[in-house]
Amino acid sequence: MLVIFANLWIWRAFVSNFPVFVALVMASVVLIKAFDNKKYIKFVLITFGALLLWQAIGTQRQDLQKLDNDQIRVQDTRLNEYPPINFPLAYWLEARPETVAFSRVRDNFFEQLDLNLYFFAAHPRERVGVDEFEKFPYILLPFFGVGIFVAWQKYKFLLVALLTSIIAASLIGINNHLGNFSIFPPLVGLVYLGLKKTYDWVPIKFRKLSIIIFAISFVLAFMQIYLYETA
Amino acid sequence: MKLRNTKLVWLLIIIGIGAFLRFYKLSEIPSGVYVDEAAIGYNAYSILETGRDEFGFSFPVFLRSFGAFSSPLYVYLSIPLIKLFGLSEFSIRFLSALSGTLTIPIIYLILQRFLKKRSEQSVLLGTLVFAISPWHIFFSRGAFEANLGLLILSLAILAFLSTRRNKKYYLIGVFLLAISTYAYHSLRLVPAVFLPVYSLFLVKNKYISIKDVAVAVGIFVIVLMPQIAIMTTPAFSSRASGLLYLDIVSSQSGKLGLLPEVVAFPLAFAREFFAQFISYVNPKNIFFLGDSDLQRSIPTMGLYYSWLLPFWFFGLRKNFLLVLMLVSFIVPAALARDPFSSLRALSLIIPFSIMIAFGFEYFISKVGHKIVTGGVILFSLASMLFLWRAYFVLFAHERAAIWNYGYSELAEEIKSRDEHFVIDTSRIKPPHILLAFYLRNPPKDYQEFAKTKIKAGYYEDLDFDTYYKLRNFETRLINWEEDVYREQILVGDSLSISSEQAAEHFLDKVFEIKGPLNEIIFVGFKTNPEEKCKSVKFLNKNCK
Repeated sequence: MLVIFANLWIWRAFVSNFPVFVALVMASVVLIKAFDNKKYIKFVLITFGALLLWQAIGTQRQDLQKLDNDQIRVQDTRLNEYPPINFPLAYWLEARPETVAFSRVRDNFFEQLDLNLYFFAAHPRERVGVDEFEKFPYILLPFFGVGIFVAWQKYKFLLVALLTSIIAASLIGINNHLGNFSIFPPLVGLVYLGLKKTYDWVPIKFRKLSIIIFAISFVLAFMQIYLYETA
Repeated sequence: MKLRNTKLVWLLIIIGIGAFLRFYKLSEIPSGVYVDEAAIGYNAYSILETGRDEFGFSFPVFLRSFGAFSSPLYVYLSIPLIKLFGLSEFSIRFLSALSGTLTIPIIYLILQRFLKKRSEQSVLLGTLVFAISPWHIFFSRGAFEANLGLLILSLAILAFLSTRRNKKYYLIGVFLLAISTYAYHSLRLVPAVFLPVYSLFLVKNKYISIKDVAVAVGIFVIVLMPQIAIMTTPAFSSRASGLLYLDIVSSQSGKLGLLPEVVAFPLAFAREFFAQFISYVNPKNIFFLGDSDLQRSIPTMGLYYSWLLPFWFFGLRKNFLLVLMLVSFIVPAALARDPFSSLRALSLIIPFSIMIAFGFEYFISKVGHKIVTGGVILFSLASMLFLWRAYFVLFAHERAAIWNYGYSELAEEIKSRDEHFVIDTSRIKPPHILLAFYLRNPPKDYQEFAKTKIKAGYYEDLDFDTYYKLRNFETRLINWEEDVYREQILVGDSLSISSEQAAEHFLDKVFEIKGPLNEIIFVGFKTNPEEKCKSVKFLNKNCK
């Protein structure tokens, strides 16, 4: 519950699109349930599939081949930079529709892999013209890392969900004010797994103390990102 | 024996490819010379000719160029190369290209030690990927001190990896690590994190004794003696304090008004540091965006080819030295204010190469070596095409202005004319050193002028200003009240002198230097004091 609700992303969804908020909470809860009970997997498929569909409908589709005026200018300049050869290599590398589409998909794909985007509001490389916000408190990042290792060993379906969401967003674009929200449940799942695994690692006699330290750090980090956001 | 020869042949082929990519058109691309390159070259030339640097100081521990106090090893090692090839783009970049090429076999040996001969294909493929990586090729083709530092650091790591066989390699490693601090300023911080932890690890595992550590500390201190001698001067700390982002942290902690300063400041620092730290392992930066600085990046290309991402990701291992390298090489870069500096983090190429090789090993164990080897060779060939496109075509044209294209032509103009020149410095990077480089300005004359700029002492005075008067040119802001009343040529970029100003002051355009994209880099206007004086109705003090 802490991972699902103690982040700015879910509350943005709550404020701007309540049905998405409900869907995200449901998909995340079902996903976490599925770690202990495999019969929930089918519900994961249903909720996550619905979320992907919602993402696809709610996102302003990006034309993978259409160029704006500035992009046309850059393309024209680049076509003239190549040495003259009797082979349309410059066209192949710069202007073929497939080349343009491939580079768009690649842009979108790597945009999804930006760890700083999810945990540091894209800092220190904030994007121009984008309202950046810290989707998850940065204190959860180490647990996300641990979660990936746990998921790789035991819950590969979580990584499949993560990858599906990334690939879908790479193809349809991310022109949505909530960003690629279909990635929210897999991210929550990974952080949850990381927290659980870390808790298991801590010797029993230190567990209380570690919970107190984590709680204080979490509250401070959450206050920090909230105050940065509202400053 | 046959297998060994085959490996050697493949390694030589990889080194050959790497050398070609580092030396091909070295003097032409990057198109121009960056100010730091010019400073390195001119200081080496100055020491060669006079035994003193540009400020007339004998063999400095740090070079004060532009008040930056950069590490001196690159300059000193460039002296014989300048003697051999003359002062040119080629001679100043040669050492970096050579260091880059020599690093290839060192990386091969490091990978071999890490993978323990389990998979020779992974080692060779890892070396191939290093040899053709855009990141390393880029820094090998410019006079970057960091690239020389990387070679020394790789040798140090190789020595540390051999400590298990013979503990004398530990001392060699420490010696090399100490030497690396003279090669690049970021490497001054690496031993502080790396050495204590790694020494402790070696002692704990009984590879070395406490006595060896004591000897190592002695070696380290002796090598660092020249730096220790100037430790108290502002020069020693100026670079670090200029780069550290404490001002940003301070302003961020101001936003946490609810919290006491003692909590707010560490909290703001933690977020800043971890954001920077994570950016150095962020796949988007490594495999897609590359450096945030246009001067240090290749258009459309990350530090590595995008297809290497899965190998890198699956190559992370719970290996003590690998993790220690990752942490200790990221920390110095993460403490600097630039967002994701591929230059400051160049050392990371060593652990990343190891990770990629481990990734190859992982995939070979899953799908077999034929598929992985074939796939990697195929993708590498395709990557060569994209590297040619990004570096030799796009970078050569689009980043020419950033790399100071046009100074060679400007130097020719200055050389070919008798008139006095004023080079406007409002938007142009310190032009004096570039012109001194291209004009091969006699170092003694240069030193005479530069010496006047040091008031408090070589290592004490941190001030730097762009006013220089050498030969028949001055570098400063144009003074419109006076310059138009003197016979001279005013030089600026396309914004320095507008057509209205040219008309108002009777200036005649005498030359225009254009970049490869046909954009104006420099415009030269000859003044016309006679006409100007006729036009002023009142008696101007500058008119006779």
